[in-house]
Amino acid sequence: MSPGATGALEIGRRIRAGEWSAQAVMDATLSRIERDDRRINAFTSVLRARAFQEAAEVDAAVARGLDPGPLAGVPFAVKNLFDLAGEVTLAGSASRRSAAPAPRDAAAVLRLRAAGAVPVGALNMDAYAYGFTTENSHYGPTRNPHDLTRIAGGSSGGSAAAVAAGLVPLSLGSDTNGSIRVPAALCGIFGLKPTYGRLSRAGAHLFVGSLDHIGPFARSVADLAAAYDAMQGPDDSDAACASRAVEPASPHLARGAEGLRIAVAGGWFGGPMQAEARIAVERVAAALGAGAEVDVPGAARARASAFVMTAIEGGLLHLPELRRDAAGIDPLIRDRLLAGALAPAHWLWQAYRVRRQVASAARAVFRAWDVLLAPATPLSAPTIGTEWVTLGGERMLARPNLGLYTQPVSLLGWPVVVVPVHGIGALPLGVQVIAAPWREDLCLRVAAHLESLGVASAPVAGAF
Amino acid sequence: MSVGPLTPEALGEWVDRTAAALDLPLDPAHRPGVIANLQRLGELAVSLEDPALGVADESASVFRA
Repeated sequence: MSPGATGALEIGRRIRAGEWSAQAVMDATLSRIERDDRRINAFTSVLRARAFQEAAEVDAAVARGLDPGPLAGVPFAVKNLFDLAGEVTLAGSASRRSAAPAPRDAAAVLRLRAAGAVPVGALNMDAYAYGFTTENSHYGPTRNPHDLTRIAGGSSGGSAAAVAAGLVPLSLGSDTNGSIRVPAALCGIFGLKPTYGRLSRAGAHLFVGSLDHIGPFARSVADLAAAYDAMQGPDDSDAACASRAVEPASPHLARGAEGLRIAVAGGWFGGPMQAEARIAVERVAAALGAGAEVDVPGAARARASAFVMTAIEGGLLHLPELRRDAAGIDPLIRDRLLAGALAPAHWLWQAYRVRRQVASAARAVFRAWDVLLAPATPLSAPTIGTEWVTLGGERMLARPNLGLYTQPVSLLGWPVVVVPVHGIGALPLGVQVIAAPWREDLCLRVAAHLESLGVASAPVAGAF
Repeated sequence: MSVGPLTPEALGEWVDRTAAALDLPLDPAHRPGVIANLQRLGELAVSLEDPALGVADESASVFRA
């Protein structure tokens, strides 16, 4: 048995068929985490007893002839801002070590469990999800499985690294400005940021409520879609969660890119980047026959709005802690939170108004096109501790500019699948496959097509 | 509408007075970093000024994609 390299749906199939037991899969998974996580620092806690208990329940259900669900016995892990019953939800913060344990699982965790999956632990992240690198000052940096001297990306860096290293086949993260897409790209795996409001965030500690999304990571599009489908559905306990029926994407994957009008996002999205990042977009575009370039109006203002909203909403959310113990907050985010808490209200109000204006204008792009392609990051994973990079002859701060091309899409709330592209340089890169609101199915179809062509792939990192 | 001068001096004064009004103790060691971040934020906020936005342009504080 080798569950480390096996996909989620295949593990579920084997367990449902009685070929593998969920407990044996769990034993192998936990052994692998114990052996290999010390190299990448993806996990902040492992739920050994609970995982074995739930795996035993899956085996018992199979033995009784019941169907535990398509993800039967599949181990998954979550960014440590998702509540896990009985565990302290750290949200990447040292001060939360003394918080009360969560009384119940987050909604997304409950829904994956309802499909048979079993949570095995919580994963490292940037403090309060405010970053793109997972260089957490209190819990240490998460290392990129493809090169241990480099960042995994963030803020869901543990979630991406754990999947890329084959420790788990599925994980959950959150994305405010790119925190699923950036680490998916840098770790070379698939990640989905759904439409704003699609998946319930109940029980996930918010950072910027008006921009926060949750979503899955996986090493195949089928696994990504299965996790996404399992988590869909309205939830009154998240005010932003839309009252939409479940719209499964998995049954449509085989349709691929057939009949879709696909263009490359130009303008802002063609800005400064490494040559390899540009080649990744060109390679994906060529495979899809996407020759046209289209401008997304207002992208620069969208990024500025997202930046302002993030700083101010995030700062105000954490104002009580800033008052009480600013010195105890991760120094990589402390001054930004303080600045946001002290910013004029006018700046936030204007950002909100521009958001509506830009979102309305930008949606017109989807009258002519079904899918847009854009770089996920302007560069591959930098070395841990990198402060500055030079891109297109311009010297710029490395950390905030990892989100240069994800941040505008966050503001618009559009669904995105990051497809991983390997083999251009030594490190993987990602391309954003973007569709109109509520059309995650199109993103996933195109991603599945690219996977079938071998243009996108997510192998377990070579050193694992 | 102007957002005012974004000089370090003006922003420093804003930081000190707003922190006092919010009962937010500010460690002097953190002050330069806060001012630098506020300046970066303000430069982006300036780019959002748009005379075309009128009173009928609502905020998206409740946002529907």
